[in-house]
Amino acid sequence: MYFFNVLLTTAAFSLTSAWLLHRSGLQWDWAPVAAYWRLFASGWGTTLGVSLAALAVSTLIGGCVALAQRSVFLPLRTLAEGYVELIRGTPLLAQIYILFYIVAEAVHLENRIIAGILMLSIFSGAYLAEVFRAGIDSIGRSQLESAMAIGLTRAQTYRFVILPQAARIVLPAMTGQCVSLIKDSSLLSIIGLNELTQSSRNVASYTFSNLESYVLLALGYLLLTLPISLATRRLEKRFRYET
Amino acid sequence: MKLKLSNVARAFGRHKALDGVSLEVRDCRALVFIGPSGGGKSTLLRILAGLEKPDSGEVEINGKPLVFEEAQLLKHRRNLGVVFQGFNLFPHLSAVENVVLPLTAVHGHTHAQAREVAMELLRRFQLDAHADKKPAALSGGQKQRIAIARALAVQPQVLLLDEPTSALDPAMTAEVLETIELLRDQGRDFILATHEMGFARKVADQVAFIAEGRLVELAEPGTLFGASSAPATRRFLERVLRW
Repeated sequence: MYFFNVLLTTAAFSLTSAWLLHRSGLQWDWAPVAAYWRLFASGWGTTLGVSLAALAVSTLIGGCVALAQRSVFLPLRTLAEGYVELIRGTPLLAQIYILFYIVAEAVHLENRIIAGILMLSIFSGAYLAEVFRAGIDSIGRSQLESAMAIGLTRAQTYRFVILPQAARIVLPAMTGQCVSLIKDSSLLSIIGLNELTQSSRNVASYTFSNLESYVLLALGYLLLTLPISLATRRLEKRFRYET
Repeated sequence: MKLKLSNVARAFGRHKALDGVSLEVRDCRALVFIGPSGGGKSTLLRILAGLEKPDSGEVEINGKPLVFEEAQLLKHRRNLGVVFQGFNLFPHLSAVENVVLPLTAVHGHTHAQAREVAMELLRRFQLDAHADKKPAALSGGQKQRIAIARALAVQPQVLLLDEPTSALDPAMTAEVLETIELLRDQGRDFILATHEMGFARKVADQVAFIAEGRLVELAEPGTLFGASSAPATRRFLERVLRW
């Protein structure tokens, strides 16, 4: 049934696209673009690598910040909240310019890949922090009280009671964030990082095949984001239990 | 069990949940709190359980004064078992793992030892067939008996039960009360807040009538239910026993 739905959706999508293309009267020529497939492939690889690394680092940042936001130590809480508001309140584009041309310059961080991973992590970390915080907050008072009553320490309460339950709750939001992160990595093209967007742009300018390049670019991102969404559905099913 | 309260008070905003309760019992196995809802029974139990701090007053359990300071409270909670009205089982853990968790995390059992202890208890409560079910798959009565098993597994000095049957239908109530009676027969010390007057009369060594944040009367069940000298107690009992 699921497979049939996928098939139906794909068919409908393809038909609509074909009709639109036909109506637009454009001439498609894939040969020049195809000649540069290596460039696409390496850009795609960079996007994949940068996104994976940034996902790991931003999960770490998000986790630490979410805990800091719940800390009993006020300065730590203020710092964490300030970071989240600052990052979520400004466009990624501006952050990249500021962090790369001012901060990275000041600390002599010249490796664009590492700088790119860090900037993306700082950005995504703020969103993940909010996702995690919401997950932790969703664990009811009665659960915390129960944990307290059996004599768990604060750390044990997180480990045995809060985190296992919160993990299930944050999973969908976290996937959404992960998909966003992959797409947001396209903005790293502005610092000249040769990831998928930058590569596609290059190919477009070499071949004058703008449309073909951008269609490939979109497909390249889908190839990364779709499997994540599908895998999450599976995971969600496995995690499911009635409450 | 020996219990001594001197002038224990606790207010929530302007509402005085406990308005100076003093009480002393010795050689009491089963102490039962009765009284109208909102009268202070639960708050008193929660203070005894180390889950709530009084604004003033002193508490002594088995000759040891209770120090309302986090490290001391943690120790205190580890010597007790608490059963809540809403069961408060951990929904992500199976029935037996709910009982195992405090044993492994707090009381230093290995997982195998803990499981043995837990299964023994579940067998005694005739719950062993449900050991691997998640709480969502259990009836209210079963959940509450698992919660009792969880509280009991750690060999608590005193078991505190806060209206354990108030969320249950009559058949499940009977099931849980039978379990509590079993504990009494085994000489387990417990303090129970309940609306089940018949049960209170049957199992209690001492009954405390608590209303409007005060201890109105403390007496043996025969006296309190049979010939109470306090008009407030008589009025309450007349009302609740009339139907």
